[in-house]
Amino acid sequence: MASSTEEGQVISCHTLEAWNEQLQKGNDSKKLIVIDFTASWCGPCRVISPVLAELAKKQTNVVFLKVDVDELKTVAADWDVEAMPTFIFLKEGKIVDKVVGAKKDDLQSAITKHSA
Amino acid sequence: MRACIASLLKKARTFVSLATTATAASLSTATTSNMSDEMKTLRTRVCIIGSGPAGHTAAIYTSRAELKPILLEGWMANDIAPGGQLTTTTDVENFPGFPDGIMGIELMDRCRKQSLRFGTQIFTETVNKVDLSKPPFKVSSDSITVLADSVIVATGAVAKKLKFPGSEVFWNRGISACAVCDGAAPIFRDKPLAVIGGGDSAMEEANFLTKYGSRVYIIHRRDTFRASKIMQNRALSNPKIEVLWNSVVSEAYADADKPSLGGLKVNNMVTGEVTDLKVSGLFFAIGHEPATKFLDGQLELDSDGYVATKPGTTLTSVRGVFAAGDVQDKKYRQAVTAAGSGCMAALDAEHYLQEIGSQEDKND
Repeated sequence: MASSTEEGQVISCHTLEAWNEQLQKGNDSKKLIVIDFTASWCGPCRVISPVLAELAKKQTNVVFLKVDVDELKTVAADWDVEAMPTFIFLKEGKIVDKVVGAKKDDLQSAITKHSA
Repeated sequence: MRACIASLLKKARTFVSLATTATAASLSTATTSNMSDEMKTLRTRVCIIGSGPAGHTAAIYTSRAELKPILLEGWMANDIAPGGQLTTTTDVENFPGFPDGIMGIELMDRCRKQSLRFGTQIFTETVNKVDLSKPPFKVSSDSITVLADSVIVATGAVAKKLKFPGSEVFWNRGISACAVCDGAAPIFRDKPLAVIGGGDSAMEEANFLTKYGSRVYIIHRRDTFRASKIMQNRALSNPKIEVLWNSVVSEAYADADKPSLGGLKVNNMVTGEVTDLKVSGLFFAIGHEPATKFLDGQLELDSDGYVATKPGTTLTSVRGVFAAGDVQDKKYRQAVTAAGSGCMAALDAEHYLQEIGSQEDKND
């Protein structure tokens, strides 16, 4: 059961512990997980950020996580992130989709497709 | 490209995180809700299209002149974030006033803040249509239409890049489209470098780079240069320059010791031979693409596709429409020259508005 304070929000993971915890929680919930790999110096990341926040508000049946690639370098490397933003879609631990770039429409359709 | 490359993860210099919280606040201040389905119509004396140094300098001047400008900054217009080309680069060391350098995004954040301070209304909208047939001019995006007495076009230009395996991974990590901007970087010092191109820019950049690199290769796909004779001679007579004719780059790969560019696979189109070229830097000098498609031919363009302006001014072929920055500048293309022309456009627009008496109409 997702905590009500976290529902409808993009959860930023700033430590490895938080990341592992949220990932586990998300997988256990069987919901679609959307991970936003972002960077503070990245223009397109800042442009898509409010869009993601809006989507999170509307789609409470999806878990939204955010990882700063400078903060969690190992996580970014583990998931083969080469460009930001990269959105990875996970369902029950498996990668079902990936969107690279600030592509508003692709993001929306991927969420709709995998959260059905 | 609507993404940033992870290259900057490995920057040698310590990166001080930008005050993104402050900027996030300012980002939300003046943006209209483009979630609304209705077409919103706004009226202004000056509409500025573009959000690079030219657009914002024009905004600062026109807002201080009490012209209440509306600036349309673009939502990933041309795949670039609001702020323009500077948001795709890291350290800006040659913009005057910043002896310690400044990050491109930070510089543009400050410009935006300054525009807002004096009353500019900024909308995060991409202009896709204009009607410049008669005043008031119409400037439209998907969700808003601006009726303006004058328009300043400051939509910039984008350096053309080539795509091949490694071209994106090493972007800003050895691969660049601006030798003038990046040539002096430490990763290129005393190392072999390469330039792709055959025009005057390529010759110019190759020569420029010999000041920093140990050797400069010009990789050109044909067997003759398009460049002017004088530029060709300058390049060909430079002992540090070697030309690879009839050649194209098919791949860029990493250095053995560091995560930046180490070499290129170069294909000779005539012999079919593929060679390995050890270089630490690759510069595209194959031209720029000014962002003029949305104008749909309503402004006169020069033979290279740049908006034609009357020399020494920002006046375009339509009275009341002005052009500033890279969209009308093929020659200099620097942040500071763009800012300068943004100021010129503001002053030209102000003068024009005074001429047509719009200044008297202060009832908004």
